[in-house]
Amino acid sequence: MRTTALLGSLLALPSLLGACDDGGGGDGNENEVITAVTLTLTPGGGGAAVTAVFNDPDGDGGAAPTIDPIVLAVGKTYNGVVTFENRLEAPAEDITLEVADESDEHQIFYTGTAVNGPASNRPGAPLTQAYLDQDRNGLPIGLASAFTTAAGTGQLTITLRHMPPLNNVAVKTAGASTAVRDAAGFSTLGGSSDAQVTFNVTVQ
Amino acid sequence: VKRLAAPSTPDYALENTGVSEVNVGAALRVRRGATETTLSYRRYQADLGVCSCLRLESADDFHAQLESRRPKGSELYRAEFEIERPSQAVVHDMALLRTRWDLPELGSLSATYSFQHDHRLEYEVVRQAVTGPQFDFRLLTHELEVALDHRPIHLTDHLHLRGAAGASAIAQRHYYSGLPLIPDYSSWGAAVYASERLVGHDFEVEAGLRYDAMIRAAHFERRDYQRLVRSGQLAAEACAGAAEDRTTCRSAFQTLSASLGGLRQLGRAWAVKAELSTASRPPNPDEQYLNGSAPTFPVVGLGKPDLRPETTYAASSTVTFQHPRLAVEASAYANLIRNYIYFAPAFDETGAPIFDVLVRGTYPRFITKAVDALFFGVDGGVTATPLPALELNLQGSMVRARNRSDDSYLVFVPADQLRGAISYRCPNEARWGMRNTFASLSGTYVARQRRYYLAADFAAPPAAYFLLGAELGAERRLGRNTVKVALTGSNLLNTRYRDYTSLLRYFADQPGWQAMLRVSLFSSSHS
Repeated sequence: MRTTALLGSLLALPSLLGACDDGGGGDGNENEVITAVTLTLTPGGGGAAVTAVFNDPDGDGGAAPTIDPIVLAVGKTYNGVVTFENRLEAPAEDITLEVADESDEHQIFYTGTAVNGPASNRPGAPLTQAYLDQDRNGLPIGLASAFTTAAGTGQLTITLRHMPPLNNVAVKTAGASTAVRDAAGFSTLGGSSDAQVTFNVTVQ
Repeated sequence: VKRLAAPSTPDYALENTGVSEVNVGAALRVRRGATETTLSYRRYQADLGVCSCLRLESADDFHAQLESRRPKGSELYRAEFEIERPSQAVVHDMALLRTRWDLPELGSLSATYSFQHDHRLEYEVVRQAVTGPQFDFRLLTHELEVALDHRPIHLTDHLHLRGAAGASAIAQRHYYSGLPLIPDYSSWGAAVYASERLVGHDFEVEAGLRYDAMIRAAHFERRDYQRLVRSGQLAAEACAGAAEDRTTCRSAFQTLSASLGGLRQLGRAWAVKAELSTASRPPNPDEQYLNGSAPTFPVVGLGKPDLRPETTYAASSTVTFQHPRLAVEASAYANLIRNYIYFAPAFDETGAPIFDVLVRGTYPRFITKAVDALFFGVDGGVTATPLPALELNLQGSMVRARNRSDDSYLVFVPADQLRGAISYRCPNEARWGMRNTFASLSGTYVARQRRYYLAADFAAPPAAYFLLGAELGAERRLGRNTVKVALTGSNLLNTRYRDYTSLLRYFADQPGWQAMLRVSLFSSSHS
């Protein structure tokens, strides 16, 4: 006797009245790897540039990062340029170029006890920051800033925020700096932080 | 084929939680004399959106958003089918070849070869310069098993012995690429097992024994191995070839599982069941070697390479009452787990939680630890059938869990819950050739988990909630095929709630009311 039974072909077609299935699950919002953030401060009217690097050469986990202190002179205006690199690659990959290419979805925020500026309401802080660059919508980017100094110490946190549009509505808006300043952080701002590093600042 | 749009909570849509699924499979069975061969293949493929609300933030920003009642930007969220980043693409392929021989003296002998391919890609929100996935996990598994179900041995008219014994071998290869997280690995395992069941007139005794041996080799690029050394997880020379470009860390595990159970029928309606068992499992490779930002949790995760197998000692007993109009079941159990593998915050000598500075801010450090845990609980249910077509059902469960190593509560342990349901089933064939027509209404109450340990968690457990559900269904024959139709509604009161056992609770509410219509077609052919 020979019997062959073919089973299978199960078709299930759910359609929707409201909406279905369990939500959530999965992962959060990791971004491309950045391992080094460099702030270069060039004094207006000449003088040696001050460079501070946050460097985590083996990425998340592994060894702790090295963080340079920032030491500046009183009563000057520095031209500050920030760069982002992935040094896990050889040669290092310059992420700054990608940020500049998509500047209408990115903004760099300067916060912490050492800074007063659009995103940080700390009058009398040793640094006063002002944006020097704009994206195609006329909104600040923050790759280039001016820092004016007064005597004091504190911490400077540099945050690279990626704010891609959601359902074709821009998330990076004119109110972004104010939102960060009023919430004293990023809890009310859309997008996610690709980099957030903190330097100790001394102005003497 | 399945397509689901993103659901909505009572207040906002869960942006980007759509699902697109394809499920195909076929089986071929050939029977010749006392030999039967089965060949089957099944493929599952899915694209799963990940809620835009699930986001990793540094510790301060994460805690600040926990305070808000809704995710930021949720006014832009939409319930739609489209899946964007972040998302996952998952594929499972399963193939199986099994031959079974009926041996007149011995019983039934079977040999099974199976192959499984699992592939998961995770896509994060990235700049346009990046087009690929950020995490890529691929696992290949080959397994061979030989099993013998021996013929029942009739010791007396009322005493019979049934049982089975077998051996299996397994080989696995795992490939990972993406952000630093886990290594590639290979593993080889073998197992032998036997179980016997003594069946008497009003009792049964069952005993089983299983032995497993496994060797695992984790393969590291030099740079990744050094990261584990710098994190303090491994000594510099802990693994073979530590100075080479590629390093292999080997671990071997032997585990023994055993169980002894008995069932006693007391009169016509009552029965008592009791079981004692012990079982062990080796640690997973990620529990051993994890090093990096966990993709699902805003933490830095560090594994523990020298973890030993986790061993459970379990005791349980169940009492049942069966009557044509009433069925009752109640169970109590206790599980003591030695070397319970637990992913939890790391603390320094002073008892303060440890934070790591990353380029994306400060994150809490979580480590896998081996602790002693105790779980115990009761669950039970009552089903009453006052009329043949009407069924009333009540079920409850309660579980308690302690970390005995530091005498704290374990996290993510389900809260006490109670569920009641009433269903009506048409006793005979209804109009239009419909059969098995039924309607049911259910209510579930989940209490707030009051036994929690905030230091091992980010947020206190959410409030208690009540959910109402309903279902309508019927089936109809169409020629050789059967069509089943079911309409299911959940959370019909549109309750706003968060589930303590879900990661989503840190970010957003659970879905509000939903309805789903399911049409299934079953067909079979013989030649």
